Order: sequence, then structure tokens, then C-alpha cells
Amino acid sequence: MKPFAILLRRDILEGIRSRAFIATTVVAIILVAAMLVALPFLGRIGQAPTSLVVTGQPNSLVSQTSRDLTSILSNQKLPFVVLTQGRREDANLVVMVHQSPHQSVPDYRIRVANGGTETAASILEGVLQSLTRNDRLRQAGLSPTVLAQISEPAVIPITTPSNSTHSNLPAISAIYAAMIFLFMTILMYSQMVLMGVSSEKASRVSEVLLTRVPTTSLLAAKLAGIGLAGLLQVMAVLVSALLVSLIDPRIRPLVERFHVEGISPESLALLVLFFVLGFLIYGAIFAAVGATIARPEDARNAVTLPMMMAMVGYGLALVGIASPHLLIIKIASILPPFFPLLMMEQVSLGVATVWQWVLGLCLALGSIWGLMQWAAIIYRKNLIVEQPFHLGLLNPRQR
Amino acid sequence: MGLTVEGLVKYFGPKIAVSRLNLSLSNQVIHGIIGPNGAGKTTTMRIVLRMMDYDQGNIRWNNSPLANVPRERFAYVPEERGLFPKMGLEEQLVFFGTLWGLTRHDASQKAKEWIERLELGPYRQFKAAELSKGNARKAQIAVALVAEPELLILDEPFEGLDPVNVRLLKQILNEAKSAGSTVLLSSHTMEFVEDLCENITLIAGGTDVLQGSIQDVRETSRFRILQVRYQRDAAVRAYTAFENQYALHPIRILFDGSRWYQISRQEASLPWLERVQQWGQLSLFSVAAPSLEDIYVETVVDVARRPQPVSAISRAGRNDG
Repeated sequence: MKPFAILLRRDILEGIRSRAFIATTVVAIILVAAMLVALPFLGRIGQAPTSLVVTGQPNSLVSQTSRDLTSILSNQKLPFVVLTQGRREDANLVVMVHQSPHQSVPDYRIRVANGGTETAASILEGVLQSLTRNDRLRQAGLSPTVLAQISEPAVIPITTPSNSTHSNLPAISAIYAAMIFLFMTILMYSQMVLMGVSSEKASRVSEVLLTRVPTTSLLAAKLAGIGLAGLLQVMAVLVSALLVSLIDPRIRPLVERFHVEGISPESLALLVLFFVLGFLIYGAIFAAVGATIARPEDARNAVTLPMMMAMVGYGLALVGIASPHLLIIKIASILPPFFPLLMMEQVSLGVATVWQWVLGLCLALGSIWGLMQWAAIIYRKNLIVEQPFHLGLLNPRQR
Repeated sequence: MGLTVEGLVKYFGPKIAVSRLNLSLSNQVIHGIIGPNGAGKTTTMRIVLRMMDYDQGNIRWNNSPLANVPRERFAYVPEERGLFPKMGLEEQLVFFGTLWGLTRHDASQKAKEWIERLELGPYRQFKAAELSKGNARKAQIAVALVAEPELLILDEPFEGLDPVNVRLLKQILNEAKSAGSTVLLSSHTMEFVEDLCENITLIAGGTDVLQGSIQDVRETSRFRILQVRYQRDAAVRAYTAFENQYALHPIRILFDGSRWYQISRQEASLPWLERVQQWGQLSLFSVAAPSLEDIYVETVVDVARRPQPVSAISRAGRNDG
């Protein structure tokens, strides 16, 4: 086996055998599984329909109004349920109806009761207004056929700025999830690189390794080893989530609401690509920083700058979801430190232009090459020197 | 043949760490580098091992430029630690064996042999962090020897070893030499160096100030040691009279009462026995070449007194080999 392969194997094994890695994997699997199992219950609480009851005089009018409301609400798929029996005092909204002899149409009033909301009352108000309008039109002599034609809702297609025909809501949920995934994994595994490098420096085993392999190989093996161990951990969590969703049938409809079937292998490959690029950018920075650390307490000071850079990227990505066409978002998406999150977002929302995509990718690949060279110099310079951390240590020209 | 270092210069920022250092090692020898702390011993070793760049100079191994020499031919034992703290001892030896080019099977076989040879059997499953300082030191040496390197470089190898293990290590290093390895080691314990090394290089102020076989270094030293012990009854009076007569000051007074005086090499041919006998009854007399420790102290003190011509060396022509 070549030295690189031997080092790579060791770094993967060290990564997956460590107690921290095993513990985080187990905790992540348990959390994801627990979240999936809890989703149906949470969904039920959040999605509970608004109940309403119709009261008033005469009884025939009350019954007629109940029937009309049930029909319209169900036709328009609105989240309301009309209570005709059972615990009527539990209703969220109360519709009071009465008709005096000198009125041509019934008089409606709505009272918000326990658990009802003003938003639900407003929706119901619209429905009752349409009921009144229909009554007036009928009394004006309009035939039921014409009335039905008038009441037929017009189909108004909604399109996104990129002319996407997909509904945006599930896509945005998935982009949020992918953004959090990228942000967390890139930083988590980059910090593992930092810890690996600084602990090898502290144990002085790096001196023995550098006798046998050049700095670039040592650095590349560490990045690849920890990156692969990280991917393995992510796969373990995803597989466990899949198993839980297969075992528990209540979860499937919830998962379907996110249009999981719409996530193509290409989208997953893109996510992996953004993870790899992001990890290489931040991993190289963290490796260089790790080589400059002589004492564990220096780690906190040393990572402040790259952490802040990543946080800025995350903040921009949050802005970018709401306003993907902002010039600052377009420009930031091609800058290497922000590229993984922002370009993933731009591509997923379908707003990335070809030049933006190509330029961003070229800059990211170029900066990875440059960062690896810089990190190798810093690594070589500092791995066998012990002094308190200061920013000058990250200057490749300083000797 | 062997290792040749010519005119090596290394700067750390504005500070010169190695200044026109020359070092020459034949194959299959044990060569000691001695010198005070900060003299440039470890830096020189790291440069030879290609861990560090250097600014000027020329390094060759068996007449090949260092850059052309496969890395697996050299192995290194750093001053302390140098092991993966959480990896088991045997696993560690197999890992380094394969990294140095052995097959997994051969590395495993060699690991077992070295564990037995260094009497580390009871600790084969121990993690490096769980080993005592002495056993960790032996484990480091096993790591370096498992792939039978052509050049073995050890930084303070006797540090932390008890006398039994010092003896074992000396034996192992001699065996490595017999098997074809060249050994370069540094030590502050002159007794070990004198005992083990054929040749030495004394580094002070970043440069070599003395080099050669231990015997030659001692013989060509510009001073000699006159050792005198008078019989007890009139000893104090005898020493005082002798020292006053020849303006001598003892450099060492031993527990048995004997006194050592430093005299120049030219003075060594004078009739010292007759001179000493004038003042009392002798129980010990000798005029001998100085020990390595005496030469070391004398030379290092002498170098420290010299002005340092740092600015004379140009920083141009940096070599990143």
C-alpha cells in the first residue's frame, strides 16, 4: 500500500473508532429517529382543523347553513369541520344565523370561542359573504346553472420568478434542511481536522510521519480520511432515518409532504459535491490553523476567524432564501467561503445562472488548490515549532 | 559515502540557527552529535530528515542529493513522545512498518520480534498514553527500527531510561549498526556517547566546532589531564606546595582526595612525576588525554566567549530541498 493509502486508512479508522465519533453518531441516530416518530403527533397538533358550530333561528335555516358551509368548506379543502352533534361547546368558532321577515337574506354573526383564531374567523367571513352573495343572486332570478357557473372558482396558476412549475414551499423546506446540514457538517468535520492536526503535533508523532511522507500527503490524507469518516456518519444517520420511516407507516405521509420523491439522485449528488467542496475549503483552513496551535487553550482564539466567516455565509444564506435575486447574494455566491451554502441555495431555487455557477465553481476549485498549498506551507512551518498562537503564524512568508 | 552535510545554514526569522555546519558520517557507524541546548542539533537532524527547509548548503546520502533519496531509508526517534497516544503498541508498530514499506504480514512479524526483543511483551495491547516513560521510549525505538532503516536518527535516546534499559539500547544500536544501519544520535550524557559512538561532532553556536573519532578528538585535544593523589598524612600541605610551585588550580577534586589539573599538550612531556614526588608520597599519578566531557566543557565555554559573526552569512540562495 502507498503511504497515502496507509495514512488515509488510519485517519478513517481513528475517526470512526473515537468515542466522540461513536457518541455523536448514536445521539444523532436517536435524535433523528425520535424526531421522525414524534412528527405525526406534532403534525396532528399543528394541523388540527378549526371546528365550528351553527346556532340561531329557525332550525331549518340553521340546518341549511350547516349543510351549505360543510359543502363549500369541503369543496375548497379548507381546514374546518362543522359540528352537528357531540360537544358543541368545544367549537372554536360559533356562527349565529337568524332571518327576520323584513330581510331578504339571513343575517350572520361570527363569535371566536375557545381555541379559535381571528384568521380562521376571517376565512369563514369570506365563505359566509359568498353564501350571502349567492342568495341575493338567486333571489334576483339567476338560474341554479348560471349560478353554479358563476361560483366556479377560476384556476389561477402560480409561477415562481424562474418559471418553475413546482410548488415553492416543500423546496424551501428542503433547502433549509440542506443548508443546516451543510453548515453543521462542514464546520463539525473541519473542527475534527483541527483537533487531529493539533493532537498529532502535541504528541510529536507528526515529526515521525513527516520523516516518511511529504507535508502535502499528510495533509491530504487527513482531510480525505476525516471527510470520508464524516460521510459515513451522515450515511448512518440517513439510513437509520429511512429505516424508521419504513417501519412506522404514520411517518410516510409526512415525509411525502416534503416531496421526497422529487429529490433526484442529481440533487443528492450536488449536495455531496457542495459538502466536499465546502469541507475542502474549510478543512484546509482549519488544518493550517491546527498546525499553529501549541496549547489546547489556543484553539478557541485560532478558530474565531474561520468560524466568523462561516457564520457570515450562513447569515447570507438565510437572506438568500427570501431574496435570491439580490446583487449581494449573487456576488457572495461565487466567493469561495460562501460558495457551498449560497450556490447550493441558488441552484436549488433555480436562480443560478450558468456564468454564476461556472465562475463560482472555478473560484472554489482554484481556492481549494491555493488553500491546500498555503495550508501545506503553514503545516510544514509550524508542525514542529511550539509557540503561542498569533495571526502572524498564518503568514506563509514569515519565517 | 554515508551522510555528508556541507555548509548548512538555517535561519528562523532574523535568528541564525545553523551556521555553515559540516557533518560527515561513514556508513555503518554510530555517530554522536553533542552540544549545548539551542546549539542546532535537533534543527540539523530535522533538516536531514526533510522536515524543514534550509537556506544554504548541500546534503547528500551515499553521494545522492537528499531530494533523490527515498524517504523510507531514514527513520527518526524524536526527543519525547512520537507515538499515537490512543493506538495500541503492537498496532502502532504494524502501522509504522507498513508505512515504511513492509507488507502487513512482514510488519506484523517484525512488530512481534521487536516487542520481544525490547521486553515489551506485557504491554503489547497497551495504548501509548498508558506506557511508562521508559517503555514509551523503547516503543519509539521499536517504531524506528521495525523497517530496518539505512539511517537511524535518534534525539536524546537515553532520556528516561534506567541503567538496565540503557544497556539494552546500547546493545540494540550496536546490533543495528552491525546489520547495516548508520546511526546518528544526540545526547547530553557524555558517558553514553563515549561508550557507544565511534565518531562525534560537537556543535556550538550553530556550527561544528569539533569533529572526528573519539580517540582522535581526545588525543588531539590541546590539553591534558594531570591526576594526582597524595597519601593522606601530609596531603594538604603537599597539594598546596605543588600548586603554588607550578601555578596550577585543580579543575576537579574527587571524593578520594585526588585532584585533576589541566595542562597544555606541550606541557604533558615535562617530567611531572618527578615534580609531583618532591612534595609528598604519591598513591596515584597519571597524565592522560582529557575525557569527552572535559573537552566538551572547555570547547563550549571557549565558543561562548567568541564574538558571533552572524551578519557574515548571506540569506540569499535559499534551498528548499
